Amino acid sequence: MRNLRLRAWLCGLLAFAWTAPAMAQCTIRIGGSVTDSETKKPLYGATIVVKENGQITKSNEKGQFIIDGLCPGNYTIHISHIGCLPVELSWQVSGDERRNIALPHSVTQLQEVAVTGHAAKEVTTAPVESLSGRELEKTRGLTLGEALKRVNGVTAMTTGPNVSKPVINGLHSNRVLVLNNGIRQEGQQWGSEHAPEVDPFLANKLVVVKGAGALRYGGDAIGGVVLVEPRELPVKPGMSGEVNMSAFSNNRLGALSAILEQQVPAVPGLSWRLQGTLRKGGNTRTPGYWLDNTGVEEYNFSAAAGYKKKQYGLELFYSQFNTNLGVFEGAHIGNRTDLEQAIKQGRPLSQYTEGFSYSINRPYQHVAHELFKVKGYVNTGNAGKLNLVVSRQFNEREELDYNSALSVNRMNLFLTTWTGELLWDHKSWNGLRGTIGASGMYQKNSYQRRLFIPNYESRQWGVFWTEKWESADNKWLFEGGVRYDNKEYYNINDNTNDIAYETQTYGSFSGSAGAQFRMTDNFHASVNYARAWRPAGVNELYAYGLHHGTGTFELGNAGLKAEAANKFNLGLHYDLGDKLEADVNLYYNKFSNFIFLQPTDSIVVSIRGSFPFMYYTSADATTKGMDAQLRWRFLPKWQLTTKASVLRAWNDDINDWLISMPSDRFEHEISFFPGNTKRLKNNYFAISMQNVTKQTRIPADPKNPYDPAGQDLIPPPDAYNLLNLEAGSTVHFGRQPLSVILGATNILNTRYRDYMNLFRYYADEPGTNVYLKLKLPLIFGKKSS
Amino acid sequence: MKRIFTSRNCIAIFAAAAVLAFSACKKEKQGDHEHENENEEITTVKLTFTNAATPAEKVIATWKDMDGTGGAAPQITPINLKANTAYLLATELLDERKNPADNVTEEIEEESDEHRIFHLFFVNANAQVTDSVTTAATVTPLDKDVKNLPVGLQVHVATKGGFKGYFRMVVRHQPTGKDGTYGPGSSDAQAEFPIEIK
Repeated sequence: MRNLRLRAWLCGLLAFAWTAPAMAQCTIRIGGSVTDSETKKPLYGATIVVKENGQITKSNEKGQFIIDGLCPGNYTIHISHIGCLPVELSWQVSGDERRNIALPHSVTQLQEVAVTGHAAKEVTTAPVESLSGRELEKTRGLTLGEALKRVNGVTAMTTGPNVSKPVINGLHSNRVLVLNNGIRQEGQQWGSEHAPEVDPFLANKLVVVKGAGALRYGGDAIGGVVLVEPRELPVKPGMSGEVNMSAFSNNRLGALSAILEQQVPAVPGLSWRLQGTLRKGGNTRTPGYWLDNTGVEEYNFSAAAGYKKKQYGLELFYSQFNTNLGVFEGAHIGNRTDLEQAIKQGRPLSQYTEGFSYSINRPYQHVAHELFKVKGYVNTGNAGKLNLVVSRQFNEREELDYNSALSVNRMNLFLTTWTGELLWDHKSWNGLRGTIGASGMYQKNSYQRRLFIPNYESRQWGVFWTEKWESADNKWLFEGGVRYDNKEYYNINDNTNDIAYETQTYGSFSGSAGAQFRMTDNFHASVNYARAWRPAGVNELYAYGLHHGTGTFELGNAGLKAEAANKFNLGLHYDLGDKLEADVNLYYNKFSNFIFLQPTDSIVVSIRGSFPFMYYTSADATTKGMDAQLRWRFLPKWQLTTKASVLRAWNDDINDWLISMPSDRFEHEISFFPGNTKRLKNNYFAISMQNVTKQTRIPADPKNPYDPAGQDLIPPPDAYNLLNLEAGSTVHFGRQPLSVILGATNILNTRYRDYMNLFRYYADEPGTNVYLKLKLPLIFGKKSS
Repeated sequence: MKRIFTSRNCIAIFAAAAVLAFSACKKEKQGDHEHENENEEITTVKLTFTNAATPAEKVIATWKDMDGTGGAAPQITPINLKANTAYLLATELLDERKNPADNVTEEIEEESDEHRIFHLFFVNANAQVTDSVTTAATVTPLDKDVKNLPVGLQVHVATKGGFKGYFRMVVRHQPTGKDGTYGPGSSDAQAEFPIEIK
């Protein structure tokens, strides 16, 4: 019944969207500066052409240019100036961005300048970083969580070699939103061993918004937002595609992904895309032993179709993600005594480290995720653009323990989510551009067999308004927004009707404000403030039962209040184009009701044995830290990249550190660019070192303050250093390019354990892993219609 | 061809596709509302000690947790045995929420090559397995699986001198690597009783 009503409501909206008046274009603005790569002086009067729509502009006396009114999409930008070699670059536009472009002098042709080496920067006051192009190619074949580790300040919370969740400045799970093709990923994201069900091959760009500034995606992104953005559907007639292949030596993992897309020449505006991925890997090897039953298999596909006209457009998208993940038997813990036993051994028993195999046996997890999305837009006169997005997601998770006659050895969770969003982007009004929107969600969860999360239904709605203003000289940028959200959990019960909870409602405001001052073309400073809040998650409210893997009994707290945060960011950015780029982001977050799982020394006795009792509670907390990075071409062909990420997280209520926070980490990379030959282009060699310090800031055990393990079972693992090598090139066979990356991680086969990996109790991290990644773009000859 | 793909038709096709896809989700996989709930948890562990010399003399101890994991704590009868005496110990696992009570012991017998029941003595409650003591009694399994490895549903317990501590019954589930030792697999069931031998 409720579904029916929702559908009727959506239909009405759709009908309205179709009949609304139409005129004018989109609202995205791109810009930047054009300089002479030799003299570093700004170039006045350079011509900038958007080849797709013929928009032309010229740079002003400071070399600056602005192109307004673009829709999201891939554009080819042609920049030319007298006395310089023209440059053409492809620019994937999804939001306001800036890019500084250096034009090579026509007289000095000694070296070709790789303009693409310097990526576009999002124009926003919030700290935003993205992976695209070469940087993204380097992550092909990895899971989303592992790929995002390339972004400074993002770490991963892992459970063995296959399950990896992004952690943004120490915050994760319910605090990080993942947007898969614009839709909030709704899986069982509360679990530390539940990775996001997203195929990273779908993405042409991965964007991380640190902090809570991204109001349009939800007010509850206390930690940040991860955007998985596919490229826009093609607008140029013709068929094209791309094949990606990755192979890894350690677990003999192979990944194959292909994309095929076409703008149908016979029907202007109609385009489609098919994409599919297969991934299969076997047991992982640590230095010294194999981890049995750690194989993974994944099969994903998606299909998209779009019909775009100047005044309106419609897009359909469907995707499916399926995976089977082996659970390492040596980490499959029956009860607390077993866990202590496993820790005492120091390394897994030999029957769990026998050798390589691709087969996945019990215990294992099966996860399937399905997304269906419809997006439509109508241009609303000179005023702006109206967008409507409706989606349905279905998530199924099955956790199978050992086959056993004695106990409930399976857990199945089913989660269905409907979302709808109506947005209106308004065009520049006295320099002010913004978006007004409303969103709604309905969700239903049910379980079978073992209870951990009850059955529930949930309704959420929100309204928001964000605005952005740029001064005419581009020196100043101001941003601000407010959002109100309301979320309700109801019909909360278990299958035997022993448990029934009362309806729970949360509602509050979130907001953000920021300013950016662009002192020169090379330097800008941003400040950003956000207030964010999130309703307590279902696990925090209603968890009841054994959490396998950690061997603990977890109890939710139905009385938890919403978690709120005041977040401050200061960002400094200095940039000399290809030569040098330096970035510093400082943050300070003050939380009230920060929700976390509190270990205790009491024990729950059950037939499965005795389990330490843990419960959800909240406290006031403070996190602060810094993400800094430097990229410096210290010699014409040599580049140094250094990243540092530092975090301090404090529980203000008990005056001690917060548990399970990533330690400080540093990364240094030296790259050598030997230059292009006729067949080999974009060549590079790189050596990098990762340094992860020991986490010494952990909460003390109140009963035994000198115990180095604190409230944990073991002290945090020692610091470690990893050495990695990589080389890449784009090989040209006639007109056919083939991008090749060959590398190895942990080349010294260092033995180590990581504090953010649940496996730190049982086993070492993987050893050396050699990989090969190939990307083959496909261009099919145009057929005359 | 071209005439079919007019913009109006296209919209119609998209709309039709959208309607189809959205109505398709009616057959949600959880749609059938019978919530499967296998309540196979063991509620009761029953230990029967029979004096080997005088079979009429029996000591019966039970460990009972009717509301499952969490909730009320289990009810446990303490065990009192005589020093320097030989007992035959039979271990039974029951699900008493079912009527009549489900005897789970039979399922262990059926999968005896995947299970091993241990009976351990400890000085302290909830101690680590490695802290188990052999000073209280000698435990010898009497039953064997197809591979001639002990099962432990029937054991011989020869008590030694006086002892006060804890007696733990553990069902180890060892689908791979059962070799007679405690190590492989995980614990399916575990019950601990206070014990006094005097």
